Amino acid sequence: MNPYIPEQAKILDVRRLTFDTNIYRINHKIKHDPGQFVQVSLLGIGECPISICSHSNKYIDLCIRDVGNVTKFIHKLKKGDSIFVRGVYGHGYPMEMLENKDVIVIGGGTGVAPLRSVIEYLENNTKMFGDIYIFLGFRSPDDILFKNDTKRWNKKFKLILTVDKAPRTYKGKVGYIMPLLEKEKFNIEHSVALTCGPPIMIKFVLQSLKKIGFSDDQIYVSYERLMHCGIGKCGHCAMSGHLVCQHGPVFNYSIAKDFED
Amino acid sequence: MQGYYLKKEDLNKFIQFLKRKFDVIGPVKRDLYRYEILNDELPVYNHTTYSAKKFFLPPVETLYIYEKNKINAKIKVKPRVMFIHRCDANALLIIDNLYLKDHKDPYYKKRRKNTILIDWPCIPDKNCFCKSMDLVDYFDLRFIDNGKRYFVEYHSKKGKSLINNLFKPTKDKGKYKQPKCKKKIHTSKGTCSIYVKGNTKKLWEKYADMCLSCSACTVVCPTCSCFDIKDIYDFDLKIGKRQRAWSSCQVWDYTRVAGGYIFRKDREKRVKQRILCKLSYMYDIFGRARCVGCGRCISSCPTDIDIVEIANKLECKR
Repeated sequence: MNPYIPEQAKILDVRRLTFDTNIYRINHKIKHDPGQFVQVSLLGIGECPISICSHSNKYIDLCIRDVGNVTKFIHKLKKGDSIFVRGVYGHGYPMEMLENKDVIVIGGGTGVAPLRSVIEYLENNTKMFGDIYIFLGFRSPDDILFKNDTKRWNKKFKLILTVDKAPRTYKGKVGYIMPLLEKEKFNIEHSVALTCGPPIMIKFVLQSLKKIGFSDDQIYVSYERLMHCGIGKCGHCAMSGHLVCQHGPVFNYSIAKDFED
Repeated sequence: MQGYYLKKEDLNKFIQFLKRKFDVIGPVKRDLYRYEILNDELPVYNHTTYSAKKFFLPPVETLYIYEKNKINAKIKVKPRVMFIHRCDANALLIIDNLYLKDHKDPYYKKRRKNTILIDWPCIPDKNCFCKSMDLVDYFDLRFIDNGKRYFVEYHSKKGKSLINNLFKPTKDKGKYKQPKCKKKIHTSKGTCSIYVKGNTKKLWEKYADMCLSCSACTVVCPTCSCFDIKDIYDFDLKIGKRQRAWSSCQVWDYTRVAGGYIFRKDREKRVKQRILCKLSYMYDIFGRARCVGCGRCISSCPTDIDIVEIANKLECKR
């Protein structure tokens, strides 16, 4: 078995989410935990790690923002085109360990993508968990991802969606996640917080969580790093000797607090 | 274990015997002392400028070739015998921990499997500090210089298979003497892993001022195994290949993610990353430090950044 060779898969569906983000449904059938990722590869272009943003045995959804070399070319692909995928890699959110607890999902920007997988898991197994809170932050109303899903989530769970900046006509919440998080009353002893987002947001969210009484081991963070191989060989993703691709991307904060860039 | 003697003048005959079946690799003097495939020369004792890692992880290596949507991966390696110094052999053991665990790397695995290692005596240079790094015996066959003869012992079936009628059995037991090193890392317990205590920011700032980010240290290092994966394709876009090439954590864009954010943009972070990756970070994965004390990074550094000097300034725990 050569772990570097990707498998061919078909794009089942493409949907536009925002001006620079599409969601691709791919028939790559694989069992996975929320928070794990695959290496998406285009022959002749390159490879990039993309986290799975669905939770199903039949397909995987990939939420892809047009920011880099490979993603730019992925955006040119249409329904029915083929794409190469290898994996699934890494360790996701340990959902089975979190059963019977209140779950607080905190995501920012494209970091919401892996959390959509968590939320789909929670939707399928609502009875196993306590109260579920979802905090999502985006840069502007135009950047809001998964608008169809958020309507559904709003009915099922407590959803708080906010944008950093918005025109006056925008009716939703405007501002950062942190004050909203601190205002909400949680049953802190029975809660866990799952976060993913840009580094600067994670930094302040962690500060807020600590402030309202969360201990380190109640917090799970997902990190983004450059990866070339995805299987713990290439070394680009090492953080203080912890390989994000293999030991992460999701870490318990009691371990991750000692990490340096 | 049975020991053998080999007369020094028979070494050439032994190498000729090996050449019938194998590529014979060893430390030789070319432009520099380096590991190369032996022509008509004999291997030398001198410490080499470059490590032996290029024979296991080539600087550029094709992972697979593709034509339209068909992927074709071939791994061909000729059987090899390698005269190797102790530090470089230990470096392979360290890389094994990364490359032969979990998703095994088939390219490295094949090369390791097809190579017989002969431990070859060495003369340490002024920057060696292998005595501080807890090296272990790791070889298929070992040559110990006994003045007029080599004392030879084997450690594996592969090694035993090389012993032919040039070797004379003996009841003596070879005494391996670790060469004397001038440099030393002073740790409290004599072990090689270092845990950083206190605020070391000033220390890293000092060395970051010296560092040019030229990445010579990571090129010569026998345990540096990071790589980039790149796609190279023909102009007609039909045939292409996916290659991996050595990469260095000292280069500014080593941690650049899509969108342009660079996690280790400051040079002091990169200097710290290399030194601590060698001495402490990888302890959980390797069970030891990622350094074998070959001193090549010190010799190759244009501004004389000395890992031993830094290590002795850090506080250690384990």
